[in-house]
Amino acid sequence: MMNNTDKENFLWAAIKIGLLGGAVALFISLVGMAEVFSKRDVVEKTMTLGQFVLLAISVASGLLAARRAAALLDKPNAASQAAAGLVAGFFSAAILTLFVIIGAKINIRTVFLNASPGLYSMLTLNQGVSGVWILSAAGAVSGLLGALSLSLPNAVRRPLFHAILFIFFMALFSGLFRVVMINQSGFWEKTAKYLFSQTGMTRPGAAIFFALVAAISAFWSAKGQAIKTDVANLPKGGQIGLRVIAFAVIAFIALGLPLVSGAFIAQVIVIVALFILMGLGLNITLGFAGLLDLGFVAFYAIGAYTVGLLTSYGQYGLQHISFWAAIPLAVLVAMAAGFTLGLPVLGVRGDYLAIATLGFGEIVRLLAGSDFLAKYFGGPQGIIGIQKPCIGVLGEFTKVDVPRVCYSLFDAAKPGIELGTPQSIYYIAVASAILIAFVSWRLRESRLGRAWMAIREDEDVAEALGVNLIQTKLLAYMLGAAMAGLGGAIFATLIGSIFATSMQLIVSINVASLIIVGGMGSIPGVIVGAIALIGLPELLREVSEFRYLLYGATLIIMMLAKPEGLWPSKTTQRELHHLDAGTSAE
Amino acid sequence: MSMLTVNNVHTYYGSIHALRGINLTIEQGEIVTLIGGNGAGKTTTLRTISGLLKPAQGEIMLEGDDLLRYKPHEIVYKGLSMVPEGRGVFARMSVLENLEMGAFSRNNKQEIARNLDHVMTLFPRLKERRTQLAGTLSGGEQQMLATGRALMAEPRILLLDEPSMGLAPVLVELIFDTIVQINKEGVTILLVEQNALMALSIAHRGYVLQTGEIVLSDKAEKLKSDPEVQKAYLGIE
Repeated sequence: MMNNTDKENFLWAAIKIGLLGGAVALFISLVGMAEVFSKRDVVEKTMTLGQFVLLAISVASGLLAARRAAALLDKPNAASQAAAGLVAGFFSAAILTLFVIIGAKINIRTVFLNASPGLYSMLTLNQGVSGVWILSAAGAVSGLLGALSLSLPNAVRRPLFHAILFIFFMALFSGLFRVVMINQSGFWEKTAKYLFSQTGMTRPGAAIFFALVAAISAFWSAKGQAIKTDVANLPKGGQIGLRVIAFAVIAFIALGLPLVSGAFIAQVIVIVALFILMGLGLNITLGFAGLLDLGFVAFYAIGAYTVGLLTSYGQYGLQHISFWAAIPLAVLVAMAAGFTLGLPVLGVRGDYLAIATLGFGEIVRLLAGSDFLAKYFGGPQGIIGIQKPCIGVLGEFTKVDVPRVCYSLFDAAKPGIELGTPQSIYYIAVASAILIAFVSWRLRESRLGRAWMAIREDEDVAEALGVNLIQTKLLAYMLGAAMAGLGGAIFATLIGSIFATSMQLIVSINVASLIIVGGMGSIPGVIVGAIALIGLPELLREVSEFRYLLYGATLIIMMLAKPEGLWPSKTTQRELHHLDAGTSAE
Repeated sequence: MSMLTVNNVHTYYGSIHALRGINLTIEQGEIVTLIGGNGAGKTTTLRTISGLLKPAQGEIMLEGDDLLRYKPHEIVYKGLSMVPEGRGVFARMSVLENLEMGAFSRNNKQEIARNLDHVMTLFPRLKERRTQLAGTLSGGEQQMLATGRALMAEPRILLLDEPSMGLAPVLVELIFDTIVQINKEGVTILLVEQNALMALSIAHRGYVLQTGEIVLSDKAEKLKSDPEVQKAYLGIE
């Protein structure tokens, strides 16, 4: 017998992979994710999201085991790969099976709160403990399918994979689509009811989406390259034309979106835009200049409180000026705060800087919410009654708790346009985000941007080359703070009130995470990061419960698999992927 | 007037007395080398001259101008430029961006472009790799880049800290040839080196530094044949 003794037995490897997958599945079940997910359907009356996720783990185990088998065996063949997949899939489900059997005998709920009867019945398809064989069988079959998918030709496997992935996301977002479409009534309402059910997709809906995506994916993998070359070969006028069309389509969607989306989606987009503003701000301090600031929320808070104090018609309002006049002031005050933070920490580097700025963020929050300063900032009650932005002329301030009236610009007797709803704040927030993204981009290409990057790389050398460290660092803090302050100012008007308790450390951590996930120093990265880390959890109610668990997992996976971020700056990308190509022999 | 005079300079790292009254004179157009063992204070001397360290006492004059009056980032505007120990290239910036940063103290775009061309002819390797990230260059290329970057400030005096560190002998020779060429183009050079033999072979004069004090100074050839120097720094018994 030819048997390579150095290599591990492939079945043993498959068992290990299966057990690992099982551990993940058990974890997901015990933290309550599986049960929450099972309340949403992927396909109505066929498969819940919880089942989908658990099965996906078994499929992935089977696929990995089959790959591993191919690597371990001297002569890999389809049968042994399939066996590996089957074994891995079985063991991934076996852990859950064992859990159900134990759970039926002993009440483990005293320790694991989420080990509820609902979870057991979900895992056994409502069959009770006697139905536990279904679980193992489903795992084994899924593992087998995963393994078999390896032997499919690429042209079949990729469309299949894309379609399944799309169905998964579609199921997650089906509620949103349904609400938006039903609001339009008529044709759209009917389509929505045909495609989506209350909890997920209908069977015909799922089938349509599956076929559509699979077809598009197959078409693209067959013809995509040719289309790309065709576009690249277009004459210059044609290319510009294409870009103009793309831009027009995006602008049309962006402008029209709040008209159809309803308040909830508009509000989520506003919040994403606010985090983009903060992210762009921190991107200057951290991404460009390399100064880690963990108290970044302080500037957001300062921007919000400035607008609150200047425009509120409540008892803490100092002035009663309009939103438009308050915005530049809020930005200026935030810049001054950036200067105040920057000055004492000028000589502080690295880890120490992180701690010092962390302290600053906490001080601002505690002061704003303190009883000591309550007569200025409202203490825990916060500042309420923030005047909504008005396009027109604001009436006189009459008395506390009565908003100023917004009159039309042309006719003082008619009401003007008051931007009170999230849909109307949407335009302010998105326009600000676009403006600030442009400013960031110009700053990066400027002399100041170069100086920031140089001090990020090596302070001493930068200084020796003529960079004024004090000026450059202070500008990084101030401009970063200004952007966050603008975000805070818009936030205050969106909510209409501000409370110190919403200015927690976790906001700073969120901003830092979204920069890291998006790609440090990259402007599109900030946008992608904000959508992924802030927008998706806000939109997906089920997921938001496990937000920080998924955050942690995402960050770890990102650092291992894609350390440069989702949309890295060109530099980082080159740094991490062309190292070998770059080093030359001496 | 001398190009650079260092007069009785004392520098401390906290409570450590690193430089104990250094005196140096460098004339216009010279190559002067500062040799000495580990911890003798060579790098400290350069960092003090270029303003990164503040001396507790003493005087540093560049063409009669008191350098201690200026902030560290202003000194480069006076015509003094440094190639730091370990090269200090900006790793995540491209070769071209590094060189452009070297001209940070200057405004005239045409002159900068001319300088860039000059550096590229001095180091053709950098031209080939101008879009590459500096961190991905080899050690020798990084040394070339750091030297080129310092030249982009169009200095009248160039301070080089251990340009031979960690380089293959062939490359050391190449770097030293370039130093001589830069000097011939009119740049005064202060060279700090552990590789005393190489340094003394291109320098006009040399100083020997020991535990923060100048113990010997002479013409380079004389130092080369000095028995004490030979024993301590040239490895000749």
